[in-house]
Amino acid sequence: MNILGLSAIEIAEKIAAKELTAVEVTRAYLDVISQTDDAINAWLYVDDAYALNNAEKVQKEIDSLLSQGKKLPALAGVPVGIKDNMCVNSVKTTCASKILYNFVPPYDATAIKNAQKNLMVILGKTNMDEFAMGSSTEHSAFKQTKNPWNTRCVPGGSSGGSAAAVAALQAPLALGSDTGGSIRQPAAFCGVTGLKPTYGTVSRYGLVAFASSLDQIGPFAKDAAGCAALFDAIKGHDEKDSTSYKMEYESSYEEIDNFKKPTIGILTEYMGEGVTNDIKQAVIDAKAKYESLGCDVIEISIPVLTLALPAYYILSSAEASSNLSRFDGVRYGYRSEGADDLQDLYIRSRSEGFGTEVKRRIMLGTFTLCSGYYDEYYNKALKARSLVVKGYEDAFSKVDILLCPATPTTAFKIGEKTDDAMSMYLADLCTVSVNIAGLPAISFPGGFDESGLPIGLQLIGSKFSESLLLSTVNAFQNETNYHKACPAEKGGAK
Amino acid sequence: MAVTKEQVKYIASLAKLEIDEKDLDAFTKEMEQIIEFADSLNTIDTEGIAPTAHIQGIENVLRPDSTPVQFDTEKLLSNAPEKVDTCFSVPKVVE
Repeated sequence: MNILGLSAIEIAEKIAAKELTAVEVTRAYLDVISQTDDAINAWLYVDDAYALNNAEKVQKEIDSLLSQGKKLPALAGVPVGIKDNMCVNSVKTTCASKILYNFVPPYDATAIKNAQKNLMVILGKTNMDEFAMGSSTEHSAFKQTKNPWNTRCVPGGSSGGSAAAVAALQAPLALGSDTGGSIRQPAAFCGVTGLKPTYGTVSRYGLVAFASSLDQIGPFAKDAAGCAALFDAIKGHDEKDSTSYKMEYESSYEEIDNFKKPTIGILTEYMGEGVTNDIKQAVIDAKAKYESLGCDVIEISIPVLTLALPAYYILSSAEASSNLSRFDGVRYGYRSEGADDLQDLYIRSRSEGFGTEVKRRIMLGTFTLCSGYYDEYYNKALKARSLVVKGYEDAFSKVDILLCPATPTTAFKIGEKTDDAMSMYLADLCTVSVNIAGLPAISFPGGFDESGLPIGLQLIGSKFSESLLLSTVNAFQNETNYHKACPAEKGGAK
Repeated sequence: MAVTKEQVKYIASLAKLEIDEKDLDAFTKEMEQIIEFADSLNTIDTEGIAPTAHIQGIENVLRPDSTPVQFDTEKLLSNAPEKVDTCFSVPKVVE
């Protein structure tokens, strides 16, 4: 059986029908990783024995449940790749940073625990921009992940390893985190589907913090159905994360075929300058598709969204400067040799351990929190945030869902933006406002540009509207084949 | 606003970082570019707008005062760069 040709849901169905085992599936993906990852570099850490051992345990539980006539979790036996900023008990978790090069967490992140409770198999840890700061995975301290569609291009970031792994069929599913677009932007660049859930629906316990008021864990899959099932598996209230919502969580997977023909607003702010014509055309084509499916589509404008990008860089950097103060070379991670005293130990360990981009953000955050600049920058950005939240609220009183590009361009060349921090920041143009407002949004394949690189579209919804977003993308994917395309078939990495 | 090398050095000292002298010019220029970009926020009128530090607006989340998670001391210390018995070890702090 060609396991790699199956979607995550199909794999689970075959396991439930005893046509496949978790071990066979895990071995098939480990084989692909060993054959292709020299070219892609999506993974930081894969231990075949660990993954197979887990798969065996999972299969035993599956067998036991099946013999009792019990229903399996929707993704039982399906392997998943994990971005390296989520703690997996006794598995190295580095955040792609030298400062955590040897850190082995003594506990599981709640999202990991939930995935395991749902009988999923942890395949390994995927590459990322150091501490999730970046839009290309070029800021990893360890390796450069390549875009499977064109290995001279970046996979996007910061969850570039997770997106590339799913695109290259090295994993049917992966987890990423999204602070300003870190799931949606790499999903777009790699031609896969990625969901950034409502802030507070997936516990952040065990996710190494970047900007705590913006960070959110979410799923990658080839299609919306896989994302829905993985989102169901990881979400829920967790008393270890006091920002996680205590409420009834419905199953998004069970609602996946319940297409509600939502009223869609094309967000004009993300259809202007800086967005390529190919991408604008893909949005227009998607509009026509949704109209043919019976949706009303109108244009809508939220002028305050132009404030989101500067506000995002101020707020996320401020929070990062505070969160990253814990890395000091004392309790874990990298410690500089030969420090004279404790202050020197802090300064040397941090200066040698952090990469340039991380230092830049810590510096920017420290600056904007400084007395004298606090009101002018940090407080001003918090007020801009209020305006962005209000802007979205007004828009959702008129439409159910917003449609726009996920990114202003398709994947750019490796090295193209590394010397220009500002131009890298603009890659997040279409995604950051969603985090500022804590909303859910999904990035999904909507075509290819003239050089054959995937184009990502984005749907943004009001709080807790994940099921609506996922079923709306599912309806599009029932009518199109973009999400089924493979880099190998298009002349990308074999 | 203009950013000076002295400011960059001062901010670095607050953040317990050291910027190499040879990188200082480039770093200063980049900081200035980013802060100029952030200055674009000053074009908006935020009179009477309340700041949003957190979109949920939640306040204190209370729980019983118990210690449900117990980590193994050995396992926690296994990540320590240096340790003495069951303590983290650092260079001498007091002369």
